[in-house]
Amino acid sequence: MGLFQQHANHKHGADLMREELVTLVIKAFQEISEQQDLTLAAPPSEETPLFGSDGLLDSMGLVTLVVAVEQAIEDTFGISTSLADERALSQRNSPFRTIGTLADYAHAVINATASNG
Amino acid sequence: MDSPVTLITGTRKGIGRHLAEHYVSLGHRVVGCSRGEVEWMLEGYTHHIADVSDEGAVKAIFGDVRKKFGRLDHLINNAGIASMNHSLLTPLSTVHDVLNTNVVGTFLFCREGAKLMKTHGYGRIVNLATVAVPLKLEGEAIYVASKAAVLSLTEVLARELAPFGIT
Repeated sequence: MGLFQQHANHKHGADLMREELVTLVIKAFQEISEQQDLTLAAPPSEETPLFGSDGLLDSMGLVTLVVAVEQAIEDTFGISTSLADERALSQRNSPFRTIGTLADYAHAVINATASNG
Repeated sequence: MDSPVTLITGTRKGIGRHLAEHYVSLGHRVVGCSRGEVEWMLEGYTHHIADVSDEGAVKAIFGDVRKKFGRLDHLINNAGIASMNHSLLTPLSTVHDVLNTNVVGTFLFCREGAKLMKTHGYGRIVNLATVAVPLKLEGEAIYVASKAAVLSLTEVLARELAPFGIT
């Protein structure tokens, strides 16, 4: 993971990487909302609810989004991650509650992968 | 149309090797893996060295398939180990090895394979079980238990993956 860490440390500060992740999640979410003809009250932002009581996605939509984000992370950062999580379907603790929490979660997973590599 | 991409696990010898040869002869682009090097090579066949229960190694194979072909049409989970022994004489290490290869390995390939297949809304997954499950063969307790798990896994995955066109 040496190359990736260099990439993360120099070219991308932590904030910059998180920003890229938010952009990447929003892009994936937009593609899915177009495919599924979802009606959005506002343009997608970090606060957009994904899954849970106010969530816009059903479990199939969530699966599709998470896989799209994993693939986009691999394409953008060249790092292979698994965003699978025990808490995926939990209403309160799911890392997939909003676009922002999903970006945070992906950020944490990438950092953990980089430091283990 | 591009020729189909078929991934087969456990291609070093036996059924896996013959499956690889068969699908190459049908014109498929075949990707295979085993824990060691293969002593044979075919045009249209790519080999990876991986332990099927190693998540990092499995994800690397799928990353490579996605980059090279951008799709996966078929997955055959053939890799498996058997153990013939009385349960009272079976070491725990054998139990872990059999469960890891047969159950964990099959699950990992199904999970990662389905992610790639769902991009095109099509995929076929074949998991190998054994007639020893219904026969409840003595002397193969762990092997039979692992394949019974594969059977249940397959039946549940069939329901979860059908909406993506994967059967």
